[in-house]
Amino acid sequence: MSATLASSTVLLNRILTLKENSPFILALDTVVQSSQYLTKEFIYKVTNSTASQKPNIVYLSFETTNVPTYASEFIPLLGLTLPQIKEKVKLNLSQKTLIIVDSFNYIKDTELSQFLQLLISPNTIIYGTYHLSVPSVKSVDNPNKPSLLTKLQFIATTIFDIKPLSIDDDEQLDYLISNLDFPIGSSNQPVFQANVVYRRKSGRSLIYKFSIDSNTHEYNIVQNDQEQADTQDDQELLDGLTTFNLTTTQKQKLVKDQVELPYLEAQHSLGSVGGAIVYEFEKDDDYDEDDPYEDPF
Amino acid sequence: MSSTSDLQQQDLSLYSDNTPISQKTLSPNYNSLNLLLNSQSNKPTWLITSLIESCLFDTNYINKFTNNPENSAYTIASPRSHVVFASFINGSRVYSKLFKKYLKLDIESHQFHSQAHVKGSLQTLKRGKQTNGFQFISFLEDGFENWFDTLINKLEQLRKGTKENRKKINLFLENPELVLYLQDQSPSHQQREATNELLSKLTQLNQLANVFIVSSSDKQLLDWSSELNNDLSLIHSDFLLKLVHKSDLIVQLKALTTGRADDVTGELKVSRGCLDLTSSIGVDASEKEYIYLANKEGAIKLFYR
Repeated sequence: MSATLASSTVLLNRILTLKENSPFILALDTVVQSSQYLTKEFIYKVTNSTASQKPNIVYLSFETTNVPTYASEFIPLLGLTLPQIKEKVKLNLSQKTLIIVDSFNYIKDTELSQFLQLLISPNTIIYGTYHLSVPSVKSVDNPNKPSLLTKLQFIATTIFDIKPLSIDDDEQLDYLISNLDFPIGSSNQPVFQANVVYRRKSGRSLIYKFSIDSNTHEYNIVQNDQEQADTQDDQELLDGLTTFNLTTTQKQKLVKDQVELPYLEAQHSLGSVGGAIVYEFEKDDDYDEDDPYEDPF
Repeated sequence: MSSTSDLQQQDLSLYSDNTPISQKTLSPNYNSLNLLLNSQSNKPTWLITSLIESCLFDTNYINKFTNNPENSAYTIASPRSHVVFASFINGSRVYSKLFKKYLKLDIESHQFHSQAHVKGSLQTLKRGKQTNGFQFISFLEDGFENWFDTLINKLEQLRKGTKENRKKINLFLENPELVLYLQDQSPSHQQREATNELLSKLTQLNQLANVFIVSSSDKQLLDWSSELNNDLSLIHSDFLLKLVHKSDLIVQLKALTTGRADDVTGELKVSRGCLDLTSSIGVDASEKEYIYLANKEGAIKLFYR
């Protein structure tokens, strides 16, 4: 298990330094935790990478006003039609290029494939954001068609689902977004949680939950603490149920854990015997040699 | 809960350097986008006035009964930064009393109140050699057809006018979403294009100035589960949430969640926007919650929550 945990952070590092083969990276964010800090981390990793050839960074902006310092090319696209975008986006695809799209919400779902055709090549890596909190457009003509988000999730080779670290409950998160309630000290923090889905070429998906600190550039895997939470819940359920004390104190739990159970003792001395039933005589045992019910073996 | 009379009054600070308008936001290298969101029962008139005062004079009238910005190092002819205040829903009369009392400015006079028509506004600027640090435009009174051209011309004029000693421009826009509501809303895809077009214009303005957008965040206007694509709440949610994703700082005015109180008018919450302001200009939003009390004379008292 520890090998898996170690390899997960290595994998994340490899994705962010563009060493892992993942040509379409999608970041899903909300107003409560935006993808800005992931982008910051991504750019830090790419620009500080030991790779011999640093990629060219092209920024396709629909919502960014101030030109980022790291962008070698900044192309504002908001308000343009697809033919105008085609006219404006002329990429030099002979060298490795990281294309940042901010964000996919501004692209019509009918025009997504044509937009991506402009960008996709063996030398390009697309990193784009999609805001989950912005309402999506429903097609009136074809209401059952897959949404823009579904299509993006289908195409993406790595998906970062970004959430605040302190809010793991989806229902609570939805409530905060729908009320535009930004909890003090918990929303849009440089330390955040990212549920990462990495799709291998074989088709197998690796799913991890990380906490990412964009200040110290440290990643930790978030353990699934569901079982621990369950036992805590049981304790809480017993609290206040009756006037009797049904709970156990920490000291009692410790003592209980230290009790050596008989079967553990038996495994020490007789573990080699296998599945046989072993009976050891003790001094007070009443052994009758003529016992008719004695096991003939 | 204790009464507000027992609580210690607090100065308004939106930034981590304990200022309502940080000097770092007035640097020429970065133009910020800030949202002032309010509910129907909590109008931000006092907050806008207070922030404009900080932009112009680096003083603040909150928690004071009398205020004299004339004691400040800045004057209206030589302000800390320029302010253009454009309202889509209010005339100058709504603000004139507060401005007169606390900023000592008569915004209804021609000196400050320019016509919204492009031609007219340029003439006003040329005529008024005093290059005032403050201009008020009411699209409600003067028509909103040329609102964008009017503003872009105004900002470019101000940038030209102060070339040798260029000062930052702060643009306050009150309820620009009204432009969306006043258009024919029939097909849904056109609706989205209209929203994107408005956002594109706001981005162009933001490239010339710090922008403070005042908008409504009532629960009734935030609903994106609607089946109707041209539903007003869906249009507003789309516009507002896209703005939130572009914002550096968010200030919200809300009614008390516990109900009504005689000594509390509402809550004020300062939160980070979706952009990382610290890495851009080295100052962060000072995330705090306040409660405030507005009395009949327009004096404001502010307390920590």
